[in-house]
Amino acid sequence: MKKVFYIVFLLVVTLLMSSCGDPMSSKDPDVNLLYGKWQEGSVYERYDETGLGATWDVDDDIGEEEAQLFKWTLEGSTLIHEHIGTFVTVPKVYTITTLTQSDLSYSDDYGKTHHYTKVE
Amino acid sequence: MKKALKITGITLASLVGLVLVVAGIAMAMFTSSGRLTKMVKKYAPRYINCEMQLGKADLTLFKTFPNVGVNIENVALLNPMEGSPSDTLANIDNLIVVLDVKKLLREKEIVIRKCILEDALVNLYTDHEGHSNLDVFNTKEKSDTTATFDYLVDIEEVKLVNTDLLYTDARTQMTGSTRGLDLDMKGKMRGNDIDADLALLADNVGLRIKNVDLSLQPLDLDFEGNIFQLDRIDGRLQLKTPDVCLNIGEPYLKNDTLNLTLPVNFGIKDLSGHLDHAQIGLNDFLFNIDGDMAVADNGDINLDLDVNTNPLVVEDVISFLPHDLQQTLSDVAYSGRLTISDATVKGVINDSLVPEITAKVISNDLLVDVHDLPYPFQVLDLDGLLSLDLTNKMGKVEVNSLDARFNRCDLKVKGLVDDLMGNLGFKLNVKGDVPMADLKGFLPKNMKLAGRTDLNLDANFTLKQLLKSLKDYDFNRLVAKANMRIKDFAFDMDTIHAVSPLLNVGLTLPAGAKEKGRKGVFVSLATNALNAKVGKGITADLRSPDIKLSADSFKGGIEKMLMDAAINCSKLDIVYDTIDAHINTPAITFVTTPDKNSKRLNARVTLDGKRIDAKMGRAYAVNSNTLKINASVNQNKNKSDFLNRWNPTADFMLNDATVQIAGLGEDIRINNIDFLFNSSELDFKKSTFRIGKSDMSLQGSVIGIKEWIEDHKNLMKGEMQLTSNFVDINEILDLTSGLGRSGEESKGESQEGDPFMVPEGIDFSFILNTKKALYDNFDLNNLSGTMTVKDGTLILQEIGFTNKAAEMQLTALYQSPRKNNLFLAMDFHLLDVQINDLLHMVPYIDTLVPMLRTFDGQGEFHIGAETYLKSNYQPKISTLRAAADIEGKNLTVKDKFTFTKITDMLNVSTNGEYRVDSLDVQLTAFKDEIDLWPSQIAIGKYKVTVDGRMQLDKTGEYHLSVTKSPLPVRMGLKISGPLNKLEYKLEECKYPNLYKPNKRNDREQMCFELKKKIADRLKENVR
Repeated sequence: MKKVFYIVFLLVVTLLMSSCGDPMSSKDPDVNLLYGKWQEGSVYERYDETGLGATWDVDDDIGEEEAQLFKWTLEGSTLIHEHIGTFVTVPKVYTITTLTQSDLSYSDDYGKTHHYTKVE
Repeated sequence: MKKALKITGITLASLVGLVLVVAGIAMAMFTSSGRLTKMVKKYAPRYINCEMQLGKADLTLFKTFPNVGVNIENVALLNPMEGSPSDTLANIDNLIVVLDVKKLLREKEIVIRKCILEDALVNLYTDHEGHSNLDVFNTKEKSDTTATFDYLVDIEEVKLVNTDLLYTDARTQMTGSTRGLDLDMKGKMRGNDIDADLALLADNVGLRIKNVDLSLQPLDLDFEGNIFQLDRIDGRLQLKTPDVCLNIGEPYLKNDTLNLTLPVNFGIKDLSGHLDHAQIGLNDFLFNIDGDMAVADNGDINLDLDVNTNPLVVEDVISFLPHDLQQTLSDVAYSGRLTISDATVKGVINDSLVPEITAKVISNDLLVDVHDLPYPFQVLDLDGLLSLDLTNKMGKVEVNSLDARFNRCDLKVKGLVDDLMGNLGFKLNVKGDVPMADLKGFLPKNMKLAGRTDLNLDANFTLKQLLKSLKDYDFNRLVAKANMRIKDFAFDMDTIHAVSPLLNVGLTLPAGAKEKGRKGVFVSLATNALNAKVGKGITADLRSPDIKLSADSFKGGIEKMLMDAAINCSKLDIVYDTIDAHINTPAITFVTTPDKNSKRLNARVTLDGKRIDAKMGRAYAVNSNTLKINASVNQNKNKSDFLNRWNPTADFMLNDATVQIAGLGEDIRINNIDFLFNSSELDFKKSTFRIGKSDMSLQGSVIGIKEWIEDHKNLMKGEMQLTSNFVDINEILDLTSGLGRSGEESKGESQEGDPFMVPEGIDFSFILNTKKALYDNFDLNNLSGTMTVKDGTLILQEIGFTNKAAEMQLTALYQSPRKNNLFLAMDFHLLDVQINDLLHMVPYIDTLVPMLRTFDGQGEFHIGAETYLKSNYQPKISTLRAAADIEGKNLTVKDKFTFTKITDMLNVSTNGEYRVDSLDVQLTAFKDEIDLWPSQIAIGKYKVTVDGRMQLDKTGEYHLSVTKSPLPVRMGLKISGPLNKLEYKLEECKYPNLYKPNKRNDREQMCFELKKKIADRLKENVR
């Protein structure tokens, strides 16, 4: 009886863990959902299918036409921005926590999280 | 006429001989008609040696009452001679001779009272040897008769009724004819003296001597006088004919009315005579003539006459002038009257000679209209001396005085009008009061003059030259010299307008007479003040200008004009748009070189001035000790913009000058500048100047100027070499800020605090070579490299320099698309840098890498950064991207307390030294996040990997992992919090295998690759 109870307990625990765990942990974000323009406050990000992206902050009097470019890759849930400057390359590594039709959330290793909403 | 008289005399003398025969016979017997006829025929051959035919001879009383006469019918004298038009000497239908019977009977004197020839034809001929068909009288028989009778021919009346008279002289080629001649000659003949009155009426009289052809139709002639010794005619002749024609090679008289009143003193033998108070009325002309005339053996007529006239109508006079002279004057119309006085006619008339004529000519209110001149000469009052040499077709008028009005000009003329029958020429001095506007007709259509002048002109030209010159505006054919003093002078031509209150003008034609090699007209101008405007833009005031110019080829406007001008004045003030320039003692030359094939202006201008003071609006001011400009323009009328239309080329040389620029605290002091400007290039051949504290020497060229002006999308390119001993870059940036800007941003002058706006539309490269420079607070030595300003982007390309802190290489890029959105990117490499000095020199690095301040020593530093800036140069943090790679060895740690605390917590032994053996870190900055990528620090036998992040608010979180230690334990340490209040907490080692390639996990491998990418990108530009 104990053995049966133990087996049932493991199944329940396994089931609970699979249903209540991180939704991204079981399924990598769909890159197709990433394409487009996203907004977080005054900051915008745009992901193009070419692997290039752009970001700008309208609070700093910069529009999309003056946006700074970056290369982006998405492997699993790891989103890497490589900001391509005139003389420098500045990489940023993030982990996507949410990617839906309307929402994008990612965070870095220092716990800084960004939440974007799809605007286009 | 002399010939005619001679013929008449000879004829009469001959007839007298015949009459004597008849009279003698008649006196001998009063017989019947038959006997009388026989006697005449019998005795006639004694006196006449030619064949003679006589008809019936009768005594008559009725025709000769109260005297008795002999009427002989059909008298014919035949004396054929070779060359004679006829073998008949005379053919007389009726010859009536009336004798004084009383004298014959009582005093044995034969006195012939009348001799009447009716319906006679007389043919007189003289051959080349002088033999006459009149030599038919036997003089021997005559003397016999005189022995019997003491006869006297005392003809009271000789009448010719309806007689035709022909005369031919082969020697002189003279022929004469008279038709329908009625002649009534009354007089007495005593020996060879005749006291005669003569009335002659002929239907037609013709006379031809070689090329002289005279006809009168009819002729009414009266003569009262004496003929002495059958030779000398002394009397008074009156001649009238309504139709006289005279042709001497060309028609002189044609169907004109002639009235002669000639007091005649004429010798038949020598055919010479004298006229005393003779009057010739030709139509309305009345000529009073005194003088001598003679006919030579060869037929030449010698004249020496004095002539005066009544006032003559000029048009009529000209119609009587020789054809050549009329032709010469055909371009001129005349009207009015003139009087000829003190005229002389001297010389010979024959087929090749015509007497010379001189005459004093006086006119009042004459009008002369030269067709090609714009106005007629009116109110001509002439006092001149006319000389005509018709033989040589030469004629002239010496003008003693001539007053004339030419439109509104009042002219006084003296001089000579020459070659009247050829190329009418003028050598005249003309003085007058001339409104300059009246010269309009002499000027090109696009040229206007105004003002009023005192004219003093010496001219030497022909009418044809004048007219041709005026037609072609080619004045090289004319010789003239004029001085004018023009009040209120104004000149307009095309876009040039010049005025002067008082202008002294000297004019010389042709210009070569004044200066060798010049063409056209030479003009010298002198005035106190001359104001000129060119187009709507340029205004020039010349003080005391002395202008000397030659100009030619006026017809095609200023583009075709050949001009060589030199202008010297005490001061020149020029205003062009916003440029206001003042030049002292400028010497200006202006030379045009017209293109024969196209109508465009090619010109060269030079200017040599001293003490120049110029302003360009309120922004720029230039003062220069000397200025030299050597410029040329080549016009292209198809283009409208300045550069393409004029294609200017100019060489500017400026010495000892100062340039002031509004807003720039320092003057630009120019030692010398020599640059060549043309529409495609600005070539700085030599220039040395100071801008504030900076001294510079600039050489190089700028190209594409025209293309840039046509379309600012095209770049104006320049390649310059800028060398200097010292440059204050801050001042230079202020000076050049905003050049080429358009729109709102460029309006007004730059304000203090405005950012540096990079010029657009230009691509300038400056190869820099500066011994010492100051930028911000940096002292830079041996600065070399390239600075490029390209269409809104400023690039410092691999600028190498040194200072006390390091050897440095800087590549920087600055753009200014908007005042509030500037872009700065830099790539900065410092080799062997002293960290302390680096932080002092670039304080911003302390913000990016705060831990650097804890070290001292020498390192190698590579940093790349870019950010947008606000107008106050504050970074827009959202755009900040930066990366740094720092390598150092044997660094001394200055913050000993913190170092000790960290090493103690990590169980790292330092052996009491505060030193780091090596350091190799990579940092990136993104927005406000400054990430220290996992990097290794060697301290003795220990190696520590450190990473972390710091915010720009000076709060951070770092992690240190001991990755190599002689101890078995690998400790980790977390340092977090504000920099001034950090918290230290031990934790698990985070990167145990990062520097162990075989043991790295995927995340560590990715991290390592990104680190390498950061470092490689930073170092790829190191020279």
